[in-house]
Amino acid sequence: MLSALIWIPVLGAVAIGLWPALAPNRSRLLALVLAGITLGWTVLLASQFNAGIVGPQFQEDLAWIEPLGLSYKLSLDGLSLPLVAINSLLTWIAIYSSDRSIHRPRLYYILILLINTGVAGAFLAQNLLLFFLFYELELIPLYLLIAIWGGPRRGYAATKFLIYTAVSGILILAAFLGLTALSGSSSFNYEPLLTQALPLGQQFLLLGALLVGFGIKIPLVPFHTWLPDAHVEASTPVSVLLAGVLLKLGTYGLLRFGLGLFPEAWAIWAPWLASWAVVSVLYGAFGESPKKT
Amino acid sequence: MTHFLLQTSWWVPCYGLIGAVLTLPWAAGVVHRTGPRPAAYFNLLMSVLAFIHGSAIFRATWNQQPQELIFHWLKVADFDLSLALDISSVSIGAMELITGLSLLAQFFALGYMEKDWALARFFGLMGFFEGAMSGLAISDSLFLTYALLEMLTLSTYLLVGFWYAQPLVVTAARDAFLTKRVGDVLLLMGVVALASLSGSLNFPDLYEWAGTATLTPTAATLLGLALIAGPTGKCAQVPLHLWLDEAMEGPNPASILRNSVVVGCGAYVLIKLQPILALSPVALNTLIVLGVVTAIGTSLVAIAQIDIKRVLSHSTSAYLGLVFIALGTQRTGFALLLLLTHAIAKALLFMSVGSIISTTSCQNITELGGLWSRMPATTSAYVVGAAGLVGLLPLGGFWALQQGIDIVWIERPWLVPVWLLVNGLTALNLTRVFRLVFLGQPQPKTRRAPEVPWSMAVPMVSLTIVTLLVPAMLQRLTLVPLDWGYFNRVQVLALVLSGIAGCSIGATIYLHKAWSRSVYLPSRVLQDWLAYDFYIDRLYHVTFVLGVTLISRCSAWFDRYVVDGLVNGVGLASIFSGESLKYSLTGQSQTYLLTIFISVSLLGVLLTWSMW
Repeated sequence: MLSALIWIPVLGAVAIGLWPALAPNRSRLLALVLAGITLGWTVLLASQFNAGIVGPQFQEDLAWIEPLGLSYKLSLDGLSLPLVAINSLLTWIAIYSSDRSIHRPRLYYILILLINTGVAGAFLAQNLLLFFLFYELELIPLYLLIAIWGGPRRGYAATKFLIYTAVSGILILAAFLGLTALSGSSSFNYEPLLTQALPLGQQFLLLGALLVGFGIKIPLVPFHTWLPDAHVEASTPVSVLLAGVLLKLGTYGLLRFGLGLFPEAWAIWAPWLASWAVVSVLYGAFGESPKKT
Repeated sequence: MTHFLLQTSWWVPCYGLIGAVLTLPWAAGVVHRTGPRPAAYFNLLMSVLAFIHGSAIFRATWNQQPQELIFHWLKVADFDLSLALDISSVSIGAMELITGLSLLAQFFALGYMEKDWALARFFGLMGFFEGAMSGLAISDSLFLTYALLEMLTLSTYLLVGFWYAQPLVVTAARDAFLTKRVGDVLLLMGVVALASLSGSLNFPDLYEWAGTATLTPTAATLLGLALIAGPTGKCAQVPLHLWLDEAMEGPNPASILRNSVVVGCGAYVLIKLQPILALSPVALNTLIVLGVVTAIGTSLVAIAQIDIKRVLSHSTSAYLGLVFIALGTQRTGFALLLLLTHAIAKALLFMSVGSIISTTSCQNITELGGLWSRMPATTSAYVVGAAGLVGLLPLGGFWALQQGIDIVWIERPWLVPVWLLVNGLTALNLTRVFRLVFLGQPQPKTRRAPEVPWSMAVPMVSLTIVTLLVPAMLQRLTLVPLDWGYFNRVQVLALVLSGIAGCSIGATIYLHKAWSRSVYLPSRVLQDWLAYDFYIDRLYHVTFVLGVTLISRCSAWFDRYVVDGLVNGVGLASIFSGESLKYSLTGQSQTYLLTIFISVSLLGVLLTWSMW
């Protein structure tokens, strides 16, 4: 069930890429149809979703590279369902609201569909490495979307975005690797009780890496300066995806992995995190207002 | 069947949202051929369904124990984020009032907005509005309530800014949004604080926690004030009251809802939070002070207005001030009663005003006159609405205000004059508007005014009948005592006398259309002072707005040159060091091997340092 959310857009991207002599409006139509199918599938999933159950639903588990602890494990719960839904919806809207006479349409629609895949995969993944793969996968198409279809300073903005998000990815990967190594687990599967045995000092270290990693993505002050540049330079549909779903990955990651894996350390840090959030809110609000006048 | 009805009560808010989604093809311009009307009909149908479903649930919940529906959203460790709904006769009754008024307002909009090109968008927003409000009525979790309040803020912004090509509309929408934001951010602080203090955001858990909570007085005060701030913005209370007046630039059918039930939503949240507010005497006293200041201040301001919608919007603020007083004295039952009677009467007044605006395309009361013989249904709606609002005839407003006086009579007798004053001033104001608009000589704009078409007349007349039936409804719901002997004669007499005094002053003061601004300097200064909201907006401009602008200029400079400068500096440094290192490369592999060897040895030494 859930794999369809990931693979239908890939199918669409392949079809648009390989279809011989596809007219621009046809590639747009194809992208719209496939995004529409994904959206329909999401609605179907949401209707099948049982809100009374606590915990993951529609689980899928395939062994992939067992020695590495990487498995293709997906599931959906109350936290990821709305995010998956908004991802499918916004992808459709982004394609629908794209300029009809856009430059290099096939590549453009392929990249948007790939973003959909990456984000959906990251929201659904129940394996830490798998999450990381999708988290990085979504970065490449977005970089290209800003770098090719962006405004005048697109090169600067796209590179800044790429470097920032890559650093964020490295920190997250480091935290995941450290977590599995320290807890002696043989797989990267998401199990909330994994860290119970870890000493608090190690938990702080790992949570700190996650915090900075996802903090860049959210973005929290002072890691935020890539976002205004990216938003200004990206075209509107890309900005819709960026603000609507990609940034949500950061918050989602913090909730799912930061809070979910390190509840003890999280509880101790919670007041500081809240203060950090308040500072970010005020700083962002104050920094934003004069730009409009 | 009953069980099924109760279990599906969460559908009712969804009807409005579904209606809003269904209008998208028309609002987004995908469907051209049919015109925007089908979208309006879909929404109307959805509101009818919501109303019927709600009535069935209301019958099922009558005299039943309240039930709770819980949807789990996120469960991590011992943290359980759930969305709870409260299915009781009070919450369902509030939901019924909202869907009912929304249905009538949408019906009214069918006529009022007939020639508007964005009809589909309007109805989509109304559906969204209705969904958010009816969800708020049955929400049993502060978390869900907060989210729905934000939805209300958004839809208010969109509805006020509906005619976005007009500059006044744009500023009005912006001000409404930002003012409510200020309140909402403070409310959010309260919500977060409450979540970490009590561990749950569902109201039953919160009540349980409040029963045994031991907070320091400072914490309780801060918490209470934060929780009050959001509803202060929503209910247009001083000091966050200016947006409601400006919001009158929006389409009238939305104003019907905004002035009746939307402002009530803020007070409804406070009613839900009452046991927590009761922890802090300061918060309760603040409620009373805010209520008194708003009730008297906006009643006075209303008298000097000449825009027919603004006259009524200020009176909305005044009545919500009375509700705040009731909440400050912890009389939630009375607060609900006043909200109910005010909502119905004010909705009717706004329908009548909408009819006048739609017929004459004029909102300035000095340019209207002599409409009584030309628009009988509108006139009777105005008269009934006004009578239902003030405490004079035994309609809804009378019973509500009478109870209001009754509850403060012994405990806080100093509040009784506030009640009487607001009643008198409202009566004066409504009589003044009645004289200017309906009586007197016909003006150029009203000479050929016809009565409104059926699509506006039907909801208006229906609501007129409902307003007349409010006393019967109150008796049926046993919200007012049945026995006349229970009443304190002095209270009733005082209330009626204040109403009569207001009406007679309103009926006899000298009104001249050409001289609507007085020629005598002292009274002109006073009139202007009232007409421009005591110049509070200008005060805000030179204090808060200026301060925020200055801070944000500094912060933007800091962000641009210090934070981003640092980031770019790191980038430059790495490029520069890379570029300069490039020239140190020799291409000889032995050099590379030597470098690697030395680095690995150093690392090895560092790692094994402790064993040496």
